[in-house]
Amino acid sequence: MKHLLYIFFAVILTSPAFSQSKFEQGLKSMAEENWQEAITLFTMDSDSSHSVESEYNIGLCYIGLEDFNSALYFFEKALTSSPANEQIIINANLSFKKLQPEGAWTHPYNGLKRMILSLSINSWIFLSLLLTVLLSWVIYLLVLKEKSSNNRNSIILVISIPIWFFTLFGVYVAHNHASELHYLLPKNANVSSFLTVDGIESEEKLQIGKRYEVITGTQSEWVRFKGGTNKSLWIRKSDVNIY
Amino acid sequence: MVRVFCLSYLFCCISLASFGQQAYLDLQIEPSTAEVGQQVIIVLRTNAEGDLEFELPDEFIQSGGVQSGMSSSINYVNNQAQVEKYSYQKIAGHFEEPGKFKIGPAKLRTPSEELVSNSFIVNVIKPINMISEDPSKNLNDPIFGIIQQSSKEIYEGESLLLEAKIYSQVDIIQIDRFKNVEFQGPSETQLLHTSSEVDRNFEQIRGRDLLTFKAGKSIVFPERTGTFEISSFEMTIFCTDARSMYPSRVNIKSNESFVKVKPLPNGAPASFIGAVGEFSISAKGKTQEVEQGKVFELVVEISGVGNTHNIEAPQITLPKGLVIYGDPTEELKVNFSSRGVEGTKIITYYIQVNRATNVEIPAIEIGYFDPNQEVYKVQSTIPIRLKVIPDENNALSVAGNLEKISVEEAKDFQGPMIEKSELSNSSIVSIRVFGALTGVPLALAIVFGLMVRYRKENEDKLAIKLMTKNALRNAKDSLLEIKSTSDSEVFGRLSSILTCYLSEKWNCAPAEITRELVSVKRDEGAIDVPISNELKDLLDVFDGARFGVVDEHSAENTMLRTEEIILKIDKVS
Repeated sequence: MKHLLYIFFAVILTSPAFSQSKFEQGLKSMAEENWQEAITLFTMDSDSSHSVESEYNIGLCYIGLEDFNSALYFFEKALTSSPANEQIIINANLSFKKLQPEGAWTHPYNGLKRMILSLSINSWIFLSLLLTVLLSWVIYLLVLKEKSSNNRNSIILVISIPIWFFTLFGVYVAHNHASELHYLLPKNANVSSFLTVDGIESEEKLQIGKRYEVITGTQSEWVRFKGGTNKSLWIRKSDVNIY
Repeated sequence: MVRVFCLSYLFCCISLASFGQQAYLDLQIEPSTAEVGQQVIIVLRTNAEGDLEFELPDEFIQSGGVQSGMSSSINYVNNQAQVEKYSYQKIAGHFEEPGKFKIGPAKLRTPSEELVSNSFIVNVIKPINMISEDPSKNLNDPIFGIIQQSSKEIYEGESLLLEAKIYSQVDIIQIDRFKNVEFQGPSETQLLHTSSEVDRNFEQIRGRDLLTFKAGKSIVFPERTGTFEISSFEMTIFCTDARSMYPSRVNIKSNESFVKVKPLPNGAPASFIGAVGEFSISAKGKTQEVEQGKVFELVVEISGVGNTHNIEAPQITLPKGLVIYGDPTEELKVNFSSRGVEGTKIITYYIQVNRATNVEIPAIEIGYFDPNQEVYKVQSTIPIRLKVIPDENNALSVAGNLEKISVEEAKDFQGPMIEKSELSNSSIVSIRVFGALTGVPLALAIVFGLMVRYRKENEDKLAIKLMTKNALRNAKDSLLEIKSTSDSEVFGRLSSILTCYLSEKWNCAPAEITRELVSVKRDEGAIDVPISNELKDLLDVFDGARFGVVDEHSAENTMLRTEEIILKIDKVS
């Protein structure tokens, strides 16, 4: 009986319904301008099941706390999953302007990537499988050398092959995007970078609000990134926010 | 000079009548904008009794004494007439210097309370210069009148000041039957001075002392452009006559004049609201915060001097999520003075807030024409920040319809996301499975395609092969049947099996199986010479058996030979 109760609570606590309630509690805390509590609740919600909305709302909470650097990080992090969302883009842009009034915020991902990421990876998989079936059928007919429909099939083949390759590219990009680290933002102004892991300190100090491209983030404490002059540098993970 | 009025009045008659009415002390001043020397009338009204304390500015020159009395008025409240009795004091005078002078508040100490009236600021301006015909040309007449006007040329929307001025070389006793100057065109005219309010003076013209007075000052707002006549004023004047002991009566008629009303110049700003004069604008919200979905009142005040009463409401540009709710209401708090219409036009916009986030209402701009400098000018308000209290229900309903604001346009942070999407970023298959799912159908398509194509291309050969196979099987089956039975007509059946087999093999009728056909097939290479000879021998045996010239004991041998020849032919082909 005791075990059954444990199982019951475990199921309840890990269920999406419970997660949603954390999200709603976070919204309520936001409405009461209880920013720290809202951040905690949204973080719990996002940890239980990854949520763009929670990440975005955490960003808003940091706006409430006037911590625009953290807000920018969470908005850009939310853009990783939903890069075409204008609501997030607007807030990221405004957060950046608070940090660097003279600077201009740019989207972390280029137009092609944003277009690809506007569809989920499963949509790309579905599209490419659909096109694979179509292509297979056309190839089958062409191999048969059916003279009556050869021209039509050739046209279909010529059109569908580039589209098919593009869908494969979409799957590849979406898959890599979801599994890789992209950028880092320093937590504070003038964070030191290093030429080697725990080695010589570089002259380059990281600017607050500036986004740096991650090269590798596999080490437990250090991350390798592209510096201002495209130099490969290292930095402590504890000094930066990475997404 | 400070003139302090500390007057004690006993209001005994009104005490009963005013019983039950709320006590009040009211101050009225007419006009609130006056020229230097222009008569200003101050009226104090109350329905209570007590000690009155009222102070007037030093610059105010009182003419005559204080006129006091009692009066009554009937007010209709809920279709019931109520008689209100009150006492009043009337003070007339003028200011001798331009400036702004505060009058009031007056205080009335009653046995039970102290009543305090409202106060007024009187704006005293320099007299407007009036142009007129040259009076020195009329000195032959003992009395003559000349129209005075503020300008001969004005802009559309600008005001024109008209006045009658009488010059007299004799003493004037009384004036009568005054017909004021009239603007001969569509216009809006407001009388500033009545004929009873005259400004008497002495002027020296060409060494002669002339008595002058002005009457019927009016302000005109022409409604069209063009050149318009101003008709003469007329009046009857009673004056002293040295030749008689009775006053003489003179009817005078003034000159006529004209005014040119010019259209406004080109280059009006987009925010032009038809205002001509000098104006300023201010705006404020009735509240600083509003609930989402509720209506917010934005009060815009346009103050100034000019055609204030005729200006249009300015256009306001609202951010996304805010809409004008109904028509704006307009309130006019103005008075007519010699400078035009002075005061404020209050426009209240009703704005429905359909967004969940704070918003800034952009600056409201008005354009007006300054006729003195002959240029268009623009004034604007400061932006108003409005705190929006999100309505949870409303927010949920509009969550799916988020406003589309371009990144550069957006000035405020967007509101929270209140609904979680169910989208997942993890793929349904691994990349390896995906590779297999895309590669296998293509490979299968190629393999199956090639297979089917091969089958189609070799369809005839396969059919023949199949037929041959069938023929061989049938032949073998028949031979087995013969072996198991001891049929006397075994040769006949063997012949039939061989011809059937050969006919199926060579795709011809059984009757066509002859020695000649065997020779032909040999020549074609379908069979070799030994098989051909063996076949012919067998055909000879079968023919002999048909005619009874064969040994019955050789049947078994013939059966073996037939089986062998069939197998040989099958192998060869």
